[in-house]
Amino acid sequence: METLMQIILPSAILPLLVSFLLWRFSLKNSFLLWSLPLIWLPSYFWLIGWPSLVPAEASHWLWLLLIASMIINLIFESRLLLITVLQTTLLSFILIGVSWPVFQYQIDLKLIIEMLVIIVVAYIIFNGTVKNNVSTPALLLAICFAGMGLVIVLGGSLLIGQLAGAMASVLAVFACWEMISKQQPLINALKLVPVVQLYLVILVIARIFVEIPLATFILLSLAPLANLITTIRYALILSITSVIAAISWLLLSVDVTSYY
Amino acid sequence: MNNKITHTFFSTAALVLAISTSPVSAAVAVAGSYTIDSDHTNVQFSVSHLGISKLAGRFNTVAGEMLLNPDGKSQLEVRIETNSVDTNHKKRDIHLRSPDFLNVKQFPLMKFVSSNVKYNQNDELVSIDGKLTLHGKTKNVTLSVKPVGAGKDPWGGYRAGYDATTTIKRSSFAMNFMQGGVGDDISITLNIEAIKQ
Repeated sequence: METLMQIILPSAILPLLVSFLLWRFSLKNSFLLWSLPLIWLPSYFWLIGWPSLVPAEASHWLWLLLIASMIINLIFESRLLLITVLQTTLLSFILIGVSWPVFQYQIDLKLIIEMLVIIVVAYIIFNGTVKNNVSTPALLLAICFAGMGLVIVLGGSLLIGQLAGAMASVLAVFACWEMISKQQPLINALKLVPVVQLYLVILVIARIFVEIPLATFILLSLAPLANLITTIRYALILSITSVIAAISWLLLSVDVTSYY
Repeated sequence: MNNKITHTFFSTAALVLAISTSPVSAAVAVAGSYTIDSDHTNVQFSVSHLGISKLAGRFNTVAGEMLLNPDGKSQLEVRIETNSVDTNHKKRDIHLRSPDFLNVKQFPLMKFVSSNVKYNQNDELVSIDGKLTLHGKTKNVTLSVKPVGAGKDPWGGYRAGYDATTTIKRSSFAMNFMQGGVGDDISITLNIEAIKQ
């Protein structure tokens, strides 16, 4: 029971609770929504511990990424093109940091191409959401994070899967509100850029260190793009389809017998 | 009659072979430089599971060198490929290789390098102090050593065997995941067979 609580508390109960409090207060004070990415951090520090300033492992980059991404948004709020360029540059630097421990042993051309794909996807998302102010509903991102979390847990890393699951829980409260109220998304696209950054970097960590299949990786990387090409309703269908396809591919290609 | 002669012949031949190939079971190995025989060396570990039982595993790929000299400089270096972890359960091995525990993509090698090798009055190896590098962290570790045997092998070489044991805390090596379910203390046993160069 204690072990089960160790899994559920940081990845579900704590983020849901903090997210609910934020939602409750942000209804009257919408500026509080800027802190949405930050409320994932208690779960992160619970799971990872307090990482050193110089990251020793791939997951140690995540809190730096989140904070740096938020700072870029806050400082350059009105300069949208600059935000897109800086966010993409930040992602590129973080990806180099994340993959360096592998590259120091062997330069892997395939991995470099995969990371370039992620950077291109990121640029399209940042450019599309920031420039055109396309709404990125919390529901869509919650589905992406939940799907990715499930993939990573089935792929062999409970820890990285929990990190993704915690963000899915953070977004779930706002996703529920979107579904019940049937209003426009509460959070605008710009506020969710750090969350998209987090999604893409966790996905790369899963690809490099948990070795999720390439097809699963590509399908999950394309899932958050859906709302740039169609309306929210169809975007949700596209994203869910993409996530289900990613999970199905994993189930077909690797042994997913649970032992935890 | 023929059967009896054949039986006697083979019995005698087996006895001669056994005597000629039996190593001298002396505990004190000849001083010199040794290479660890990867085919006859293994690293075993055990860790508590849920606080109710012990889970055992091993690393299958081990290499290293040993310099034995009770009167002078002695040293030991053992290199273990973390990717070779084997707990007789494929899914669990994948999990152990993941960033949750060993993170083998980033830390493919576990290494022990001795700093002080101690012998008893009979020149038997008794303990080895050294540094263990695991999961990107290097910590001081002492191996308790028990000589198993030493002597000539059937191919004209000379071998020495040792059992070395230690206990480490995985939290000291920044492996903190699932402390409740998986114990912090890890008992490690190195069953070393080394060939004199």
